[in-house]
Amino acid sequence: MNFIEAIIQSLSNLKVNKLRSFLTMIGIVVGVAAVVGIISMGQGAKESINKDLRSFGENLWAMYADYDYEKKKMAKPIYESDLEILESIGEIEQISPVFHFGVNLKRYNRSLASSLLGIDENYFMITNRQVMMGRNFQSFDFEYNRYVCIVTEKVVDDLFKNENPIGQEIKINNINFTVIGVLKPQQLESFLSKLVTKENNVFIPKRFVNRFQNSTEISYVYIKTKEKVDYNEFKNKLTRIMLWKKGPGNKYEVASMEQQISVFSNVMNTVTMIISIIAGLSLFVGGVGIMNIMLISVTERTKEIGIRKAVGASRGDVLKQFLIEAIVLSSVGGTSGIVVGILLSVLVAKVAKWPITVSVTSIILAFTFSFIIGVIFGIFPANKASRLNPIECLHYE
Amino acid sequence: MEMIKIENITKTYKMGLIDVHALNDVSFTIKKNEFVSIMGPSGSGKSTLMNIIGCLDTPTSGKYFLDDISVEAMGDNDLAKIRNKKIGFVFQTFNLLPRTDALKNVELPLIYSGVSSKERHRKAKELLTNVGLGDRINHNPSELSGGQRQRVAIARALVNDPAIILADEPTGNLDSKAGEEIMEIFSELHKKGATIILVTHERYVAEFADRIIHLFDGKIVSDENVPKNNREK
Repeated sequence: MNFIEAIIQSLSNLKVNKLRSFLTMIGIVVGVAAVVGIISMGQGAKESINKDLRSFGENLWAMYADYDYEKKKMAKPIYESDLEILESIGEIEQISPVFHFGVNLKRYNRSLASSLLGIDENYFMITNRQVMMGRNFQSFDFEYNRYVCIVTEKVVDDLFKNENPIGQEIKINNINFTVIGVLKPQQLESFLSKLVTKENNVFIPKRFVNRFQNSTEISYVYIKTKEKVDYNEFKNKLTRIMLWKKGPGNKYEVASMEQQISVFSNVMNTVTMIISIIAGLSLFVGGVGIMNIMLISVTERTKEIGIRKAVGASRGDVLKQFLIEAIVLSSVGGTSGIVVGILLSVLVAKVAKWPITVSVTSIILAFTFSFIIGVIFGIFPANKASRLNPIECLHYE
Repeated sequence: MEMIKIENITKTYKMGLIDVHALNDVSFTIKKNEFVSIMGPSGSGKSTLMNIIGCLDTPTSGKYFLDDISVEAMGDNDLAKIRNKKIGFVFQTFNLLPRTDALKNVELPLIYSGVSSKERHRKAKELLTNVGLGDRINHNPSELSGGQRQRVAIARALVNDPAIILADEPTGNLDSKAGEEIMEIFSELHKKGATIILVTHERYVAEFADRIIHLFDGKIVSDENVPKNNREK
């Protein structure tokens, strides 16, 4: 009996027991749908979050003086004079020091506790931010003594209500600054947007920072590299130079957005994998279901096996027939499961507003896996059927 | 020409500690185009002999040539091939596949000999027409009478042009009219040149054959030719 003939025979046998075949397949359908759905959803979520994280700035690094827990001491602070040495590093495109501390904002009788960021002209470019009202800082804002500031929406909401803030003055710790622009909020597509609180910041040219505090320590330095660089290599390079400049025994932490993304991606991958494995267990259960039904089928069809053997079916023919039946059950179940899984992930992607990603790998994997399940759980009943004695089968009632 | 040559065949079953000799040194030959009945009470070994002739079982010792092929030492796969090509079974209980129409039932042996589906269809239809079921080819066994079922089984037995037809109590489950019709078919086949071996315990049925072999306790006790006038009754 050739292969196609065996498949036709198996299909017609499965058709005889439509309901049973369908119920047997459900286990596989659910298992495969779960695996394909979860992997696709995991990828979709990951991609949408990665896209958001990238929008914070490409090739973006941050460096800051860190607390050394072993030596129990803080590293020497970074000053603007320390930055010159960084300019000698070829990979670096731009550097932007940030002075970051808490202030109190006031306008008439309204006040707000906020964060002040003293920045230079590179800051908004490096962090990929735009102004949605008014204007951005210009070079003359940095060169001349212009008490100007850019605020975030939250500040506008709390201090201005429905007024136009542009051109208005606010008091930052009792020093008057003119609002020249309102920062456009981060455009986040993923559910991150629901986790991030509204930014409550006020930005001023860094030259005025000394009006608020005596120290001129830099809170952190943003660094943009010309192109993608190796995380560890670049990190070591930066710390080595900083230690050379500031002396050994200090600790400078270097973080990159790429690194954050890859850490996040790894976490997502692990979570997806763990859930998939749990979902995969249902595939195993589905496989046991197939074996169970096939064993019942072999017993029920003992007489049929006898008849087939009497008219010339060899052991191999009987084995082939039952094995193919199991494989057809699991593969048809697997294929339906893939379809259900894709529909599920498309649905979730629409609702969660992340890109629709159908993982081809997961489809191939799921199909192969369900096929293998058919083989593994079908071989035992099929072998049992093929070894039955034809004389006993013919007398079986 | 000898179609079946059986030499000193024994078959022993182990039943617990006791050896049961189902067949004890049986020898005979059946020529091409012979019609032979095998008779005997239950337990005489006639079923065992049928199973061995039909290559469903192998003898404990002795030699068996079917159409000049020595089959007593064949493996499972070769025996399956012999059953497929050389033997046509007709059983007392018909043994048709349930929920499968007459045509598909008759096609079954051809599936295992690798005949194309078009040719299978043609041949099965032809044989069903020959046994008078040309208008019932798409009926399932449950929709057919006993006699019609047995005719489907005969068509199935003939579909691969076997060397011998083995009929095991073919009329046992039929009323006398249907039984007689079935026996007429066997007589027709015999006239056309088929070699037929029939197992029965009814003298009346056995006498359709040219020759009757009697078995008792695993041994042949008589081997008689049926007088021609008796057969033609």
